[in-house]
Amino acid sequence: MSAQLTPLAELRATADGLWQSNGLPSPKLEAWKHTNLRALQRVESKTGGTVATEIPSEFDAKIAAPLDGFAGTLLLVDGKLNLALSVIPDGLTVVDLADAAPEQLGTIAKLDRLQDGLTARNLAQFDRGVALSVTGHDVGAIELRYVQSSEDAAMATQESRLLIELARHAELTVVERHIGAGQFVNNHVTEVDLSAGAVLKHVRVQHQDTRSFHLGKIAVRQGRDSRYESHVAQFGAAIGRCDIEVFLAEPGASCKLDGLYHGQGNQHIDNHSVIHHIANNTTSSELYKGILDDKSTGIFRGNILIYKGASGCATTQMNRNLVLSEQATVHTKPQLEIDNDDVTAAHGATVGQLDDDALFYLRSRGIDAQTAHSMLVFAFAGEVVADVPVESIQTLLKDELARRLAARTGLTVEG
Amino acid sequence: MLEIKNLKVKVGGKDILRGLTLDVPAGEVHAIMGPNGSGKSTLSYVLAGREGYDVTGGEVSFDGKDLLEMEADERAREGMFLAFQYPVEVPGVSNKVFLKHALNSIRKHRGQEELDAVGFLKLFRSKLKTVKMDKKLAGRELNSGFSGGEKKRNEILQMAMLEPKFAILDETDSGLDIDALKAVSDGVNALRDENRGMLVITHYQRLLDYIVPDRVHVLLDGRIVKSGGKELALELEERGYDWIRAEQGGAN
Repeated sequence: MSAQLTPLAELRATADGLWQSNGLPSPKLEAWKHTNLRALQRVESKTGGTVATEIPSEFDAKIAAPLDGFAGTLLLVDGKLNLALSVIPDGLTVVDLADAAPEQLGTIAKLDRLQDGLTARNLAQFDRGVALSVTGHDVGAIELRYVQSSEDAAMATQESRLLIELARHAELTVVERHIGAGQFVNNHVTEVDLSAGAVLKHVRVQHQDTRSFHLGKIAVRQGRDSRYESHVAQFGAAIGRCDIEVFLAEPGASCKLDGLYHGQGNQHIDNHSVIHHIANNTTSSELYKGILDDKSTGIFRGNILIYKGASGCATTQMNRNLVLSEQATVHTKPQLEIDNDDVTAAHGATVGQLDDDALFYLRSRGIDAQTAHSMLVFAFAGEVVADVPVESIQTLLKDELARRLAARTGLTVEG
Repeated sequence: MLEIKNLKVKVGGKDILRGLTLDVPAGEVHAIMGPNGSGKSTLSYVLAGREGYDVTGGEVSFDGKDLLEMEADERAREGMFLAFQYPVEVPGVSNKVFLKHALNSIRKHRGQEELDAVGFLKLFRSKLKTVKMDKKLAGRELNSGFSGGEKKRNEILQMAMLEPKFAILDETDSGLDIDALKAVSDGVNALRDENRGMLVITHYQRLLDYIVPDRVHVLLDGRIVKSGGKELALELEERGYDWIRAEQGGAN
């Protein structure tokens, strides 16, 4: 039977088997120790899983208004591409996964490495999303804007997929903005395949509704001398989880993984990453900064694996946390596993509070306590925001952070 | 303008100020000199409103108001300014953004219109000249990576911008070379005004050659034990503090 299946269909059948047997990841798994999906399970069991929502024909075109500095914008409603409201720049090939799925899907987010039912479920069930590919040189920046068709829609689960393929020396900046309102589950898998010399800057801004769930997996395979830069900003969702797995498969490949997260209320924000240094002279750097307020929980777990025989590798990894409330929780676990001697590596983590001396200094100049507080939080986040590609996204991140801090203090502050 | 009466302060349960009394009228510059551990820095921090100090007695009246009842930022808005001995480095906060926030919160409190970006920059540039500070430096992150001298100049720049009613200069001369000392002193002297009081806290007489005080007070073991004119500073420089201790006649 299986001989008649296409490779993708076969993968999907295998994935379905894995999903059926594993189910949702449980806290018994090390990688899910601090993130319990019971709340998600409860909600999904009520609605019976995947619900496909129709896109209203009168959908507000304003929602697709492009940001400054972008060559194109793709609007994805409930994870489905809305071609009518999208602008596709020259040089970018877009395939709607609702129509056809490229055979290479599912080969990077490798199932054999993942005991993760969510990724398997996505591969088995995804019915929406896009595949992007670039063969020429720099196309510029494109935004993928993920919105929900209706705020009032019943709890819906969407299994969406994104594939980004860059040919030799192609360059692209992709900004995913997940801004859906309402109560929904977004199980989203992104696969990235970079050929030799390709450069991808990849931003994810997750500010979904705080009643929703964001489960994001990003898997990246890098060819010789390719460059992958990731900037993940997590502000939204009740549970926001982002897993990045990078395979530095050929010599000279390098990656940079940056993150910023801000938890308020009861939010649970989880960032996982695994970087595989498989080939010689591969380099990676990682900097995640978390701001945890109220009763929120922030998790960072980063694993860097230097393979046997991969000489001349260099890696740095740092997770810094700013805790603004006594009831907030931080779990941080930077990890290095090195299988050879020819490596430069540094890693660490910090958990701290606002600097009292700095607060006093600002206040001694007439700045009230709450503004001083906001200024210092901004200063903490500034380092990672400043490295985000596209200026309009930096502004958007600053504005979002300012809005969130203002909600806390009732004040606005300029960065 | 600033009246301190019998001020007693403990730090971590230990008596540091033991009944300090001092009156600095508007328009005058007073100097406080004293050996290490006499309570100089505690006095400046208590007046500026830093946390961690227990006031166990006495009172401080500032321009007729109870200073000790106010939060640190309220004191600043009322016109109190402390030039820090060790200005704090605040990476990630731009010097300019910080100063604009500070200035506008003070202006708002005074009932003045807040300055927009243009108005602020104009004022900022003119004040940079008075402290001979590099424009580039001034636009950087607040005190971050500044040398000792640059930090002190930045304190005086802030003072020039904020135009406080009363300024405390805590060991402003420490760590300064002669050029920086001159620039800082010139900046301070330019701010001497009949409506403004100043308290210059220093270890060494040298600073007082440049910022000439109206009165000099000796702080010893948490109390002002001797006061005099500017010549008292010279005498202290020559003779040290032991003779004053002896004059106290084992009162401690």
